[in-house]
Amino acid sequence: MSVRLKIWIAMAGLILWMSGCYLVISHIFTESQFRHFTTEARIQSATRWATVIERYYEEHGSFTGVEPAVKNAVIQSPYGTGTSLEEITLISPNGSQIAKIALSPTPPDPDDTTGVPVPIMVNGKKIASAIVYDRVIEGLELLQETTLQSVANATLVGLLLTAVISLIAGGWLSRLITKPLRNIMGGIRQIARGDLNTQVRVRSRDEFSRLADALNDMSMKLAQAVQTRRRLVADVAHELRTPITIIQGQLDLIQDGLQPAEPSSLLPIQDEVLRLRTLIDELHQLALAESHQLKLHMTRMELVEWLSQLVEKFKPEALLRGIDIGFTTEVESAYVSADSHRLTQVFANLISNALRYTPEQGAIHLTLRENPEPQKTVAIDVTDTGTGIPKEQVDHIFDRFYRTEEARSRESGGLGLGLAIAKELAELHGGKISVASEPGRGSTFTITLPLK
Amino acid sequence: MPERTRILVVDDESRVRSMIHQYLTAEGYDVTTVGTGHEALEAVRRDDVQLVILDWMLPGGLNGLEVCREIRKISSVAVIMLTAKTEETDMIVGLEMGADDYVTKPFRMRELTARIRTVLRRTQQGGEASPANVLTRGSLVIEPDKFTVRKDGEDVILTPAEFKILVTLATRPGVVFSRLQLSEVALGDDYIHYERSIDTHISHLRKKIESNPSQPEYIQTVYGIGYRFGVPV
Repeated sequence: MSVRLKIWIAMAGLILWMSGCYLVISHIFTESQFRHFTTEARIQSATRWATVIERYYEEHGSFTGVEPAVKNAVIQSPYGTGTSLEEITLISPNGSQIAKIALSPTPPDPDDTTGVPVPIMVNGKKIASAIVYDRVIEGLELLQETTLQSVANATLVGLLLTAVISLIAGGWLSRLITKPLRNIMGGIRQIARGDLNTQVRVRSRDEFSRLADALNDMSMKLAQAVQTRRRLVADVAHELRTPITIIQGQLDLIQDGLQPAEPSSLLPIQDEVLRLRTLIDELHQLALAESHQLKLHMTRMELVEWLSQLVEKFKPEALLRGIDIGFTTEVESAYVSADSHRLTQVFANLISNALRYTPEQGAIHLTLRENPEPQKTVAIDVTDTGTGIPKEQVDHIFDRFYRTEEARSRESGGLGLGLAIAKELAELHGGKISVASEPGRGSTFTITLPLK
Repeated sequence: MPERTRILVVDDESRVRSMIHQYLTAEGYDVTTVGTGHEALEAVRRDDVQLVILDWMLPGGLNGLEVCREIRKISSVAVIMLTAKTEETDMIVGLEMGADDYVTKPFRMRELTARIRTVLRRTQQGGEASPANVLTRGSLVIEPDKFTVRKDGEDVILTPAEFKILVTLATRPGVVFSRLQLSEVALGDDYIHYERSIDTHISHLRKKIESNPSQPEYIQTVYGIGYRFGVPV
């Protein structure tokens, strides 16, 4: 059952129940009031004639001759001959009829009317009861019946009308309430069909709009994730093509007997297989880092000592390339909580990149300094006097598989994953990595780490 | 002997360049390799190149497509594009830009050399007949381009898959091909996991071309490895 139907049923049911109760209660109340009123009127009217009889009995001591006396009294009463009084029957306490005072030529039809019984009291004692038949009083009863009937009819019509209106109003309202829900459902279906650019629009400012916002947010993130995955697959496929082409070509050469299967012709295959292995390892590492599944073994580290040792390790290679490498610190000591193996990976990547792109006679310098913003962080600059990164490529330098034109044409062996991994690792440490570069003059990579 | 065909290879990956270089040299072509579009244009202007193998993705501001367009302005040399893109539209654009054919990466050198031969035959009308045009193996005469096989002068009717298998094997007598390799050639990548079905094709092929299919002379089984074309004695 749809929510809309449920709301509609609940709403219409509530309205129907309430109006039903109201109408029935008012009906019962009106009926009892009216019945009370007519009963009172009948008794009052009957009691008047009872008083006449009582007075006659008091005067005469018996009911003998009561008939003409009452008739006389009726004729002399303000109603005169036009009275609606038809008959009065006097009945003794033991049930026998004492007298029957007929006041109209035709006796009342016992099927039609029931007389109003009134006690005849003399000196506080009931000596008989009079049953008064009166057209007006009977009419009153009839009036009561028709009035009650029409009240019931009105109630019924009212109920029906209320029902129709409540059903229509309920339908409209439930439609109005569930409209954002339908929009959202439509959006979800679209997303399920694979249209991830779906954005649901809900105009109201309520829970529904918050739900729609959450859905929009989700679909956007989903679209981004799918986009990332697609790009990754495309990138990986691209990276796989070259090694596989070379391996296949080299194997074809050997299989076709164009080259003997000697170590020299197998070497390129070895190289490519190695590249593929590196690619797989790096991809795995990047995937772990990106999904935050990479386990860091955090220890308290002192950076001044650690960095100077690290720089020492790169000195031989720098010397070989004719590049000067150095380290200065602006702080006496800086303690951070880090995984020294992963942190080494980050800096080794930056330094080996710098070594690769810095010409002979160039210089690489590491600087450890206090970082003004955010507070309680330390910054390490890795500055080189290399080729620099063109402005339009700076933004992409940390994207995986991104290689600058320079990197591609040099074929320096990078797969374009090193900086992407470095960035993820820096972020896993609660730090940041950024770059400032001036083409032709050099680049500065800056890593910030929170102090411990 | 006519002058050897000169082929220019343009690719930014030096490893790919050297591999193609080795293969084509072994195939008997003269090969020049360059890494950028500008160098490629220079080489086309300078040398008497008969065919250019051109990578689609080139660094240095001039991509393969643009290089192809530039080449067309100065020369009618045959061009085969190497592309990692497998989208149909990319191919069409490439062919409209004046490329004669394209090969998608990762490509097989055998496929590339087959395309080179075809393109060269097409562009060098009236030129020397390509040596690969007719394969004569014992009593078999195979003409790959005409899709015909004759045994003792009589036509043998083969299915396309059987024909491709035969040509692949007969082109390199004595070389052993695995079932996987043969099914890739004969049935395409989509059927690569049905390599055993190659046995059925081979058995049909033997019935058609072998004098005694139970003791095959041409298509020999190398137990545990695959098949090879018997070297005629």
